[in-house]
Amino acid sequence: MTMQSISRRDFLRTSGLVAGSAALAACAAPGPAPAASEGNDTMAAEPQTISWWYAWGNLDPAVESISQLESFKAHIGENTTLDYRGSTNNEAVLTALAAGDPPDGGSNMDYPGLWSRGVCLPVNDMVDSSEIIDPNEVVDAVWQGGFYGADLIGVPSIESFLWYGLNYNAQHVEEAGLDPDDPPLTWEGVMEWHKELSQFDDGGNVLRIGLDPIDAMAGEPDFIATSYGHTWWNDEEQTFHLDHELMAQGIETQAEFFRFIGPDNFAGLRSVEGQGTWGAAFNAEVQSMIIEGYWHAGETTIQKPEVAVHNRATWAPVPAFREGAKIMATGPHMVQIYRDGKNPDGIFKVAEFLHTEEPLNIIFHEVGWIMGIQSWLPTIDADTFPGLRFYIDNIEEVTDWIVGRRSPIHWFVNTQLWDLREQVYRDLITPQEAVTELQKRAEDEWEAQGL
Amino acid sequence: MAASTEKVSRYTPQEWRNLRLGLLFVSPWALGFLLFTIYPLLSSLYYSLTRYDLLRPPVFLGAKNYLTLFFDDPHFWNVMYNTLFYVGLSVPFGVGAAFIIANMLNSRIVARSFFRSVIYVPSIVPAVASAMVWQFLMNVQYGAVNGVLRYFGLPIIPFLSNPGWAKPSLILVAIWAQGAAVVIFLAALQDVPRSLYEAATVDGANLWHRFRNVTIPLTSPIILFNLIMGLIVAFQEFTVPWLLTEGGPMNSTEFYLIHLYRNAFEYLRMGKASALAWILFLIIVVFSLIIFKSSARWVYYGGEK
Repeated sequence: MTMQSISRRDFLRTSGLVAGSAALAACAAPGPAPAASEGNDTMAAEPQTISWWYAWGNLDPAVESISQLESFKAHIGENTTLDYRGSTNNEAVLTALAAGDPPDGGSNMDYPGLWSRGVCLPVNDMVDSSEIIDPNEVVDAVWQGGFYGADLIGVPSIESFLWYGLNYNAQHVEEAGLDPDDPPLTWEGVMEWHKELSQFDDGGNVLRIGLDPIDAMAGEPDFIATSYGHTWWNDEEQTFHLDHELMAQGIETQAEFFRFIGPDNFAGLRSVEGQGTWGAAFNAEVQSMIIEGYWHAGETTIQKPEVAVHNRATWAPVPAFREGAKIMATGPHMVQIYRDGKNPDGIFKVAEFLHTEEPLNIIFHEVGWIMGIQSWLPTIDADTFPGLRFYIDNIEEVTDWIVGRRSPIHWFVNTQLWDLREQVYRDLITPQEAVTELQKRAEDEWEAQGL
Repeated sequence: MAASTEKVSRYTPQEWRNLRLGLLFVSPWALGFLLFTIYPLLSSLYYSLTRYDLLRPPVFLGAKNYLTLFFDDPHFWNVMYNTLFYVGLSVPFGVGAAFIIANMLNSRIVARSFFRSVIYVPSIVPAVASAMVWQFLMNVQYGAVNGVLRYFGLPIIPFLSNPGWAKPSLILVAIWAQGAAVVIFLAALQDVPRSLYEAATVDGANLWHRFRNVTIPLTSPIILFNLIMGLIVAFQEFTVPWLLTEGGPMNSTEFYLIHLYRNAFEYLRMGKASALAWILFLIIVVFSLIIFKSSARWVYYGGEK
């Protein structure tokens, strides 16, 4: 037997060759599929996945329940699975879109922004050929809110109902010696409640605020404009007018709420874990009033039932000179179908199924959301969640309607409004200067986006 | 041609084999470097000259992004001020604190190993975790520090919710997290020959003189190193300010990288964000060069120039 020594160089060369061959083999195109996978029967059984990303963090349990329904499985195909991912932020979706590997569909994203950048498919034809989706069944403003020009930019679904209301904690109101049956309807009245409901310690530190005037829906430009009777975004002409006296008045009103509490106090309260996100301060009972939509009733009941039992709702405030105006917004959430997604038909089937009764009921009971489908709406028990009845019973009384979040630069304007409003309530600029600057920034952005 | 052939023929077949093998073995790194460093670097330079939103093809704009930043961005100069304020204070104070702590830990103190570990802990704790701890400490309402102040009837300090306090508070956090610099200083201090201290003592030098004339000169290359590294890290600070203040209040902690991030991912202005990245690169280069140039006056390399 001969002992053969291997030099270090030989060893390295051999390992290099082996590693290189392995890498080449790994990179090589897959060989032909096994014969057993051929044939129609087996092809039909090939598993498929539908991927759906959405930004909400509280929808997952409902989607899980829906995905277990036999009717859902039958609708999307027995060998198809729904790969859903909640709490997916914009950055994740953008990265996937930019990489050319997006999910099949997305929801609660910047719908007009993504559409205007050409990454979504128009769904008109899919909807036209659907036997489930009936556009006439969907509340008209919700359905029309899905259109940009002649294109339907996503399938309105999941939840789409009424957006504005002043929701308040009746227990706090009573404790403050106010009448919960006579809520304020103007900003002036809400300010009085704000002063009565806010609580401070001996050092002047805030313990509870009456109203955070920019929490939830109140922070958006659509809301303060509508409250003051101004329309900043002209959908037909695709123009905007932010540099307006009524916008300035609205910002000044909101600033007054901050000044009463103290800007540092406000910032401190919002920076506490569990109090700074959308609506969280109300649930944590450090805020007594909040301006947001019908979902507040259901979400609070599901997330914080002991707080929800005290919840009531009324009209969102307007200035005294508009007393009597009853403002309301609506607009669709959608399932947008991404152009580069692998399974557009699959995600459309998901959107389609969301228009049927079973998922509508599941989403209503497990998340607290309502989709504006006319034949289903009467089946809702308006007393399921405290405060919900206001929204169900008063639709007919609305005097000022708006379909919200229509502008492609809506979210940009929103962030800039937050920035400038803070400068106003810290008395660094005047409200008029703020809206002038807001207009300028919006114009720059419009140009920068090549719109 | 003849000359070139002659040049090539200088390699023996064995040397050619060696060269090929060498290139083969460095190729994973070289490919990675080209793909994941050089290509993104050059891409970002190109994108900085375009309007690019990730989703549509870039549109060439020339120097417009740079001009917009310097002359038309409502936040840029405020961001520059915030960043320079932060870097200007956190780096020298951080390095200074690290140097002093390292000297203390290098002396004969009780439980020296324990203190060395404690000082290093902030460097290995994830930034998110330490940010949460500072959040609990400095919150205006429920923070531990303000709790103590309130208990003694003293006015509270709005560390993170007042524009005047927010930057100094973040600088405090940065100074606290100097464990890595302390360890590097400790290593350097242990390299200082004892004989020099003994000689200085024989010459009548007191503690301060020994520190001033022996310790500082002999550790000055490490001071330079920590200064440069601190500068680079501080200019790119993102995680802790983002978690603690998100750039607020009143944009007072909107540091450079936060502004870059907003432009890239909130406003989808990848071109402008790339321009910001290149400007930052140049700023760091300029500051580093200034420190290197000045180092000839104060860094001692054992008699070498």
